[in-house]
Amino acid sequence: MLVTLDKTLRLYGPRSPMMKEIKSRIINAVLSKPVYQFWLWQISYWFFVSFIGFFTLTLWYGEMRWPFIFHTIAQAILGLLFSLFLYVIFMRIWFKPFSVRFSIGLIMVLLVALVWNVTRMALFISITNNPGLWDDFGGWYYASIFIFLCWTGMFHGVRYYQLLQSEHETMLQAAADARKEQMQRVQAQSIARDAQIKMLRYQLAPHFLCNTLNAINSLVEVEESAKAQQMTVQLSRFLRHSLDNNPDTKISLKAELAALNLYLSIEKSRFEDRLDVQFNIAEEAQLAAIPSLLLQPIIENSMKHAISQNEEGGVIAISAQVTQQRLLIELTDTGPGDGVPIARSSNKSIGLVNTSERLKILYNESFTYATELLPSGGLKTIITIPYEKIAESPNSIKNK
Amino acid sequence: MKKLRTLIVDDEPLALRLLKSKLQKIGSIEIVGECKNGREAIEATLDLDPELLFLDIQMPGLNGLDVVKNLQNDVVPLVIFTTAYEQYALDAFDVHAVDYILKPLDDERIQRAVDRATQLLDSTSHPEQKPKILGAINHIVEKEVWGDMSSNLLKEKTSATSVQVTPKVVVKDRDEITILKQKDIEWVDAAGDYVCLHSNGKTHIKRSTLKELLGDLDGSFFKRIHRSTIVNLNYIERVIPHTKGEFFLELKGNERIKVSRNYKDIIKIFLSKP
Repeated sequence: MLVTLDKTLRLYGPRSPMMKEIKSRIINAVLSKPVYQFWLWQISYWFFVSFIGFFTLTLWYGEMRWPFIFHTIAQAILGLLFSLFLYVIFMRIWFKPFSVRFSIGLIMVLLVALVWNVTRMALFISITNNPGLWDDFGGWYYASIFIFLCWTGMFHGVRYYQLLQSEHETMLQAAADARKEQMQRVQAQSIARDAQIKMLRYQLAPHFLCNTLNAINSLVEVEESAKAQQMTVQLSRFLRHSLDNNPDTKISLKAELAALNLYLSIEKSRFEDRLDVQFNIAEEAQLAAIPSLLLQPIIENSMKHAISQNEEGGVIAISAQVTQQRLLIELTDTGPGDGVPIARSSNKSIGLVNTSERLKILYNESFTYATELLPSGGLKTIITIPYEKIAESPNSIKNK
Repeated sequence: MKKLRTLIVDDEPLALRLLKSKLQKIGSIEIVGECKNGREAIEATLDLDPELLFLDIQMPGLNGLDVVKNLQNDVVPLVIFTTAYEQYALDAFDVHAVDYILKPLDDERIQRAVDRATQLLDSTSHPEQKPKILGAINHIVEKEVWGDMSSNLLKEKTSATSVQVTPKVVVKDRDEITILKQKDIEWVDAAGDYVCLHSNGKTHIKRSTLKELLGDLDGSFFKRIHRSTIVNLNYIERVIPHTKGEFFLELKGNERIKVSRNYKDIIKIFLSKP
């Protein structure tokens, strides 16, 4: 028997999982819907009133009989109904000035309390059959007024609490909206910057492209078809590389250098002995992973500001090695010569600023990117990134 | 038919070869020289006195626009710029009617440019080249997109009317005013509404006429040596006779400017004085 009770309690008692579930559901419903909240505090209040009444009147005067208990409950139900009327009135005058709300509110409390008082006294008299009770009207009315004043206080307390809650929620919602909007703005900015970078690439391309086509044109003119063909193929392979490769992906240094080599071969055809290229790549650095098209802007910058500005031309040197699990890449040019005395360090192209930003995104703080103006006027760029070995992808450009 | 004496300039050997080959097929062109940078182009223009100049814009050292800036207006031939892709320059060229052809070169465009040049040279008074090119350069500077090239280009919006008592020339730029001491100005040439003041290897462009400027300059050492050229006598290092009674003056820094026959007496007086 005891065991069964224990089982039942465990299953259906206040601590059983099922009851907990139901409890939490009810609490959630009450907390989330103002209508439930309203009825909860209404019923609680009037239950409390009849509860107090039961102890201070029914028990105190020793009237433990059903008619009296009935009256205690009935007057609470009547009070609840009258308070609904009061509720409507209070809601109506909610947005009126304070003085209006105060005076109308007070009059209505006195009025409703009066009506309720008359009703419940009449009910009591009809139960007890004691018309002499009307003499005690003042005392009864006194209590009624305070019951409704209490109700009024409770109404306002609950109402203001709810307002505060909803305001708090609005604020949280606004904050969330603002955060979301900021996220979207950041996203939009990054898209815009991507587009800008692309545009810059395409802006740079026409100059290179037109000059290269002019050079091919020249080779055709003088009937050097083999050279013209070679240059055409180099150009198409280089274009394919720079259009195919997403700047987000990493490729092997070998593949990146192969693409650079295509570009530099074309430039060499254009500038002939004015351009000299020196590669010095350590064997283990060949398979190091680097962001694709990382070195391209740096070399283009050297072509634009050093080689093509110098009557004598110059040398572009690229070296790479691995030391202490870091890949070190150095790119050097020989500067614009005496003819063009410009401060190149202040002359950072957007492409180079972008290089630094890209490295920051990909490697956080574990990279270095430094440029140094050499006494000769040349520019040296030094990049170090963590050494990662790459499994060479089959479609990367093979070095020939 | 008289052939157009033509100088071609491009820093890329293949581009130069193409231009040469194309021009050689045109009967009215005689190529008198080929240059591979701006410095050579200035030298060759002075030495060979060409009538037509095909000038690449993007070149090491002095670019195509610098070449015109540094040449005295009196010796600037007809200029046709060749360019691959200088979108800002092209707008300015269109506005100021400066001739250009685009790379890759095609026969049709070259022929059209040559025809125009022939027409201009045949007409009795063909317009000066330098003023419109300076106009285009100013146009480019105003757009503030030319980057490196803009550093030397200065221009003035209001006309210079104040007569200087102190020996200086004021060149107003958009955001700064350069004061040139007259003794530092090596030579000056006028082109239309502009004068180019050459000083310390830089060319300052001022909006003024030569006549206005002559009033401002100290006449004791600034002398006119060509229709639109003034020289500072203090900078003359060598006087080199040239054909047809003309002279070259070699200034400090190996710059050369031409003295026309009409003004040779000035040099004779200069040489005769102690």
